[in-house]
Amino acid sequence: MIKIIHTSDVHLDASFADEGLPPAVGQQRRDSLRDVFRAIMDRAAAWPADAVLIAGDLFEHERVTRDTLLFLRDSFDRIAPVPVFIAPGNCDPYTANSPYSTEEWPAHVHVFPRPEWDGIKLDRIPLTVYGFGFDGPDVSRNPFGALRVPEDGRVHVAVAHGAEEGRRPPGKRSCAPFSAEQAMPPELHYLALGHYHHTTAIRIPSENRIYYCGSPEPMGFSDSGIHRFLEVAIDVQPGEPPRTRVTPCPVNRTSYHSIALDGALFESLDDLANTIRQNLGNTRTEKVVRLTLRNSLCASVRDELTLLSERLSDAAVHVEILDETREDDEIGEDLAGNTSLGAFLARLDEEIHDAPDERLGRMLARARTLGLNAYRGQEAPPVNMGPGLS
Amino acid sequence: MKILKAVIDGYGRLRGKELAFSPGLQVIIGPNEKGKSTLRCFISDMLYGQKSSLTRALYDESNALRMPWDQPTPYGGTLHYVLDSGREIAVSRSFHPEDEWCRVLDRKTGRDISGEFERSPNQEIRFAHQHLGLGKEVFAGSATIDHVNLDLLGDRDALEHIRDKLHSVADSGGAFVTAEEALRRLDACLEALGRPGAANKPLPLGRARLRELGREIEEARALRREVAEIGEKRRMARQEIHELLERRQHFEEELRVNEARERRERLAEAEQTLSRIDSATQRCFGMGSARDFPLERTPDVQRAETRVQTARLQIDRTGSELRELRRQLEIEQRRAEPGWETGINPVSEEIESSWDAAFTACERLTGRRDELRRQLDEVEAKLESAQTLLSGMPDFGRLGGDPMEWLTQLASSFQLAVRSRDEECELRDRIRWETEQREEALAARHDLFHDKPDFSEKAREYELQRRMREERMKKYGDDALWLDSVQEEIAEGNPQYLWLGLVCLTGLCGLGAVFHFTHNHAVLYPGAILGLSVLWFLGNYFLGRKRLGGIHRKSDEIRAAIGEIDSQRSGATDYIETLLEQSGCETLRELEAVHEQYREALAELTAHLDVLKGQEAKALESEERVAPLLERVRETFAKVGETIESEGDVPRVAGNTVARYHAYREAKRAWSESRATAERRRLELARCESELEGAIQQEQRLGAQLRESLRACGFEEETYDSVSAAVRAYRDRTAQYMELRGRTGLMEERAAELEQRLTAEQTALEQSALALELLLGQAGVSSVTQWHATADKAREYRELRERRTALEEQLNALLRGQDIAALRKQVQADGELPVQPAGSPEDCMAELETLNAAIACKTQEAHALHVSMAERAGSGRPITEIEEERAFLVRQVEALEIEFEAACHAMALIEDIARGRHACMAPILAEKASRIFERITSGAYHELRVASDLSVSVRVPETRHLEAHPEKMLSKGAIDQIYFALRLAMVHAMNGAGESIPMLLDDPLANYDDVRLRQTMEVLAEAGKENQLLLFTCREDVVNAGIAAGAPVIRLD
Repeated sequence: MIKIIHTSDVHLDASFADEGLPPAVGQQRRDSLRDVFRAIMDRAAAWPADAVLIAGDLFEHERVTRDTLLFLRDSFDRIAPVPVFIAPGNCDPYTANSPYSTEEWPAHVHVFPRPEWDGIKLDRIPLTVYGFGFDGPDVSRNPFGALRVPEDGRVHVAVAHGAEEGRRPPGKRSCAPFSAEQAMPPELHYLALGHYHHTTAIRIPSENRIYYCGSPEPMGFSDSGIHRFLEVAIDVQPGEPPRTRVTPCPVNRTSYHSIALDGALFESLDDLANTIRQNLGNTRTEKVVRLTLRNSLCASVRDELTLLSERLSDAAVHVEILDETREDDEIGEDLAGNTSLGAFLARLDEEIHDAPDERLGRMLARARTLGLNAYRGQEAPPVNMGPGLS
Repeated sequence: MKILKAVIDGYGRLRGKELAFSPGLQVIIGPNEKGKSTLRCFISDMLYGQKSSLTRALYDESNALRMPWDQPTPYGGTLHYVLDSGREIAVSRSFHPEDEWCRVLDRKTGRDISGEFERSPNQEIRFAHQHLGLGKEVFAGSATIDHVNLDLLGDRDALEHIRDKLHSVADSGGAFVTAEEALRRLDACLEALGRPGAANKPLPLGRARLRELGREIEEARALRREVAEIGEKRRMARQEIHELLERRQHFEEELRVNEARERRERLAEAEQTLSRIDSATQRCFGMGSARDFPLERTPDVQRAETRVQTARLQIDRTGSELRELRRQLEIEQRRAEPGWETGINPVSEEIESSWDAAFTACERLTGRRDELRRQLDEVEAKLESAQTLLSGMPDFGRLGGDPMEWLTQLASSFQLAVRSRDEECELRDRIRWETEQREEALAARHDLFHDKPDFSEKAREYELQRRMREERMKKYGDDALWLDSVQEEIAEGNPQYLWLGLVCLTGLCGLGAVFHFTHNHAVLYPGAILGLSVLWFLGNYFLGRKRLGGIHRKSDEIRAAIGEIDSQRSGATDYIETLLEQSGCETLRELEAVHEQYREALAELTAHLDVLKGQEAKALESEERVAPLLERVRETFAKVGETIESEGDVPRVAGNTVARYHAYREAKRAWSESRATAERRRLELARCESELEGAIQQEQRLGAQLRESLRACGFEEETYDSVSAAVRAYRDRTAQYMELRGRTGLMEERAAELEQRLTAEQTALEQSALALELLLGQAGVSSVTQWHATADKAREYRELRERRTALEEQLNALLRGQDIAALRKQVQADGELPVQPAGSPEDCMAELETLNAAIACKTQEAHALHVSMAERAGSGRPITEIEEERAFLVRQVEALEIEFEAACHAMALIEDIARGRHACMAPILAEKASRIFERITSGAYHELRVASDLSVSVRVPETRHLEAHPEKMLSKGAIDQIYFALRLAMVHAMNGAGESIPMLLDDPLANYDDVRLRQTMEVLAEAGKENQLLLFTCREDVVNAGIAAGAPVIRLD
């Protein structure tokens, strides 16, 4: 029986700027990525695996640090002599200045450098691993469909990075596109894929196994749910069809939660915090929360909204608040009568209605709130400036 | 909107109460705590409900007070009102928390119309919002004028407060703050966010940090590029190392072949060397006798032989030197005079040093005495000079104490007194001149009014009489006009009556003649008619004449009365008219103003005269103080020899005296110092002379002792006059003797030393000879020559042995630690060697060395690149971290920029709108409020001006000017009325846009007198035609005024 660990899309040193995470939380998340990768390598050593397949996007080429490269080398050293096969993806392509080419990697680590299938036979066990690597953010030629596998009684597996068009999630970028039916030669026992961040099994008529293992850690709010690596066991007995068993192993240490709530339901910040806690559940992952508040919000909750993150510090590492509530003003243009305030509100309501873009609309709505609160002699609800500027 | 009826089922203290309201003004009276405020709240709550939030069921705590006091249910009621459109609405509510509901009915159809209105998120029906176009707070603010607002006005800057109130109502319906305040708050908001250039504010800080992060990202990217370049170089270096390693492997193979070839050659050479070693061994064996000769002692033998010869030569040299020295000593001894060795004995050092000390002390004291004498002469000369100077100066000591201070004080006091006198006199003259000016200015008016103390009473009497006369004249004038018109009418009508009467009479006569001639009775009928007509016309004619007569009489009477009024000139009239004529004034008001000015000027003049009197007393007093002071100054300065002729001399004389005093004090100080110094010098001189005398005696005594000692030591001291000469001679003699003794002593010591050395050298010679013999004996030879012959033989044996050893070493070197058998085996193992390689071993080695150096160099370079890459990579923050910080900051700054733009936009809009509204509202307010205020004050004030910023000014009758701060001229009541007029005008101004608003007036008439209260009620009654006015009060006089104005009264008790 051949035992293989299949992982991909670790995205070490990824930036979480687009997710709106503050630098400290971003660093925490990058540490989590390392921890998870280290855990997978530990599992490879402990199982023990006969090979580790990394199907691309191991790190972010544009941002990878020397420290991370040292970490990778150390991680690979720890599992030596288990061979490691890396198929560079669109985020970590094999280029002239790629760490894959400029760094010295341990002897048991093999990186597929070219965008064409290459096979490596292992001497110790009857396993042949095929793979190809991206030579840039977009592969210069797509080798899917060109893989030829001999029928020699050995176990044949392939590792690659690409987008199976039939299962491409909405919004996911297409790179090295292919269709599963034409990409899988009948003699291949397992095709380890990377690119999609959720574990995806692709069923085809030939009963062979094609799997996206998904990223071991979620990379953003679009990657909700459990994330895994795969343990693949392939049993080939002479005269019998190969038996491949794939076991998904949950590994993620972080989970992203998008929660939308009706602000009008909460009388106090504690109510709101408790509801969020209930929504988050009892999983032991570190939680990153995006809270969208809708409808309206009472003044007391609004005033303390900036404290929510602190209040939920026991349950979530970060809470991003998208406040889509209407200001709870009781003075509309129709209620202020024939006064300057009434004229002010009427003018602004008209401007807001005619606002050509979202930003201007937001600015005008805020001007309405500020003006109304100034007329009321009250402080305007605070704008969330975050640490450092407040 | 007009409220028609309030049915209160239960609300606060009110229960089961039904109140009907009329559309206009009504007065609602009740003593305190009878529910007036509760009723106002009831109306407001019925219209808008009690919830404090539109989105959720939140209540103000004040609502707890509105719960029925006696029992919790029912809690609510019904409010009936009619809109300006005529639609009648009935609103029923229950406020009870457990049974809260609201129902809106159309009273005409009885239909529930609650569904016609929008509902707020808190489920309140927004009927009142829709009907009035106002929220609850704005309704409460703009519709309510309560007494608290009036009290808050205060009486300082009252119109400013009124302006603020107007702003509040105009800007936010009185519910919130003014536009100005809102602008201030927004400005503070901008300030807090940070305007461009502000330090330590979030927005500029954020922008600056963003710029920094942008730079940091660029740097980080550049660093990554640099690291990538270094990585590429390192990769190239590693590739080169790999190629070099391959080349080295090739040369190492070549070297291996060369080594095998060299090994084979080495084996052949080793075997040859081995045979040569055997040959050398055999020869050594033949020279075995010389094997143990101590060849290594040959230098010792040579050294011993050299030592023996050297010792002999040294002994000869020392002996000759000793002999020469002894000869010189004898010559020296012979040169000395006979008996030289018996020289004089030394004198006691104690005596000699004591005499030396005494002699030196005498010398020192003699010099000191001469110096002191010279100094004393100098000081005495100075003392004499100071005494001469002092004798020519006045004796300031007679003034006692500190003369300088005394004289200065005296002069200062005098000058102060003179200056004070001059100032007082100047002031007196100025006041006197001003008084004269005032008297001159007042003279004309004084002539008019000085004998008319009762002017004010006369003026009032004159004014009264003038008004009465004018009223009567007016009345008579009207009567006369009427009489004239009647007279004209009669005068026009009477001739017609006469003519018609005469015509009718003529006709009657004609008919009478016809009847007389015809006796036709038919003519009697027209005759009768004509007769009646004659009677009618003539009657009217005579009646007119009679009325004319009456009118003439009446006119005469009126003329008489007018004449009488004209003739009724009282004393006051003459009095005032005379004054008017004399003063040139045209009206009594002008004359009164002139009189008022006269009175004020007179009062000021009187005050001035008092001041003048006081000033004259002060001037006199200061003048009297100067003369005795001058006398005293004269006397004082006379003591120091100064003469003062006049006041003007004092400063000059004081200056002179001060200068002279300073010179006197300086001379005195010099005299005192010189005297003290002379005294000190004299004392020192006496002491010095006494010490010198003692020293001379001591020196003489010690000199005698020294002479005795010299004599005792054998020195002929008698030949010398003085002790010092004797001592000098003694010391010269002693020095010569000591030198001679020293020289011969040295020569003797040298001779002894040479003798000792000679002895030692002889001993050393003996020892060296002995050692040489011993060495020769040990080698078994008898002489040095024999030693050398045997040594040559032994040396040849050793050379043979050494050659063999060298061959053995050569063999070992060839075998390189192996035995020859192993080498043979290895050569056999090498087998057949390939053809000669391309390079020689040296070339291979050289190539290998070069390659190794290149590999080491490249390895070093790769390592350096690796280190550099690590250093560069670790020198900055990771780009990810910077990007995340920047992305986070971008969002923050964007939020702040939106906040900033929003605040700016809100400010611009508020300012624009408020300014425009105020400017539009101002003329309407001014016009309406002026009318209301004029009516309230019965025409006493007729103009209120409202500027475009709603600042208020009032035209004050006394000054006829518009006053923006009339607080001192107007009572608080009048200011209250200004506010009231403006507030009512504001209601009209705000009505313009829609439904009329019912006004709730909470006893705003507290400061009104009866007349103005009545006038105000009339104004309110008139205002009530447009807006419903519910006037809440606890005062009966207000009720009475309301009744007088026709307002219905509702009593809450």
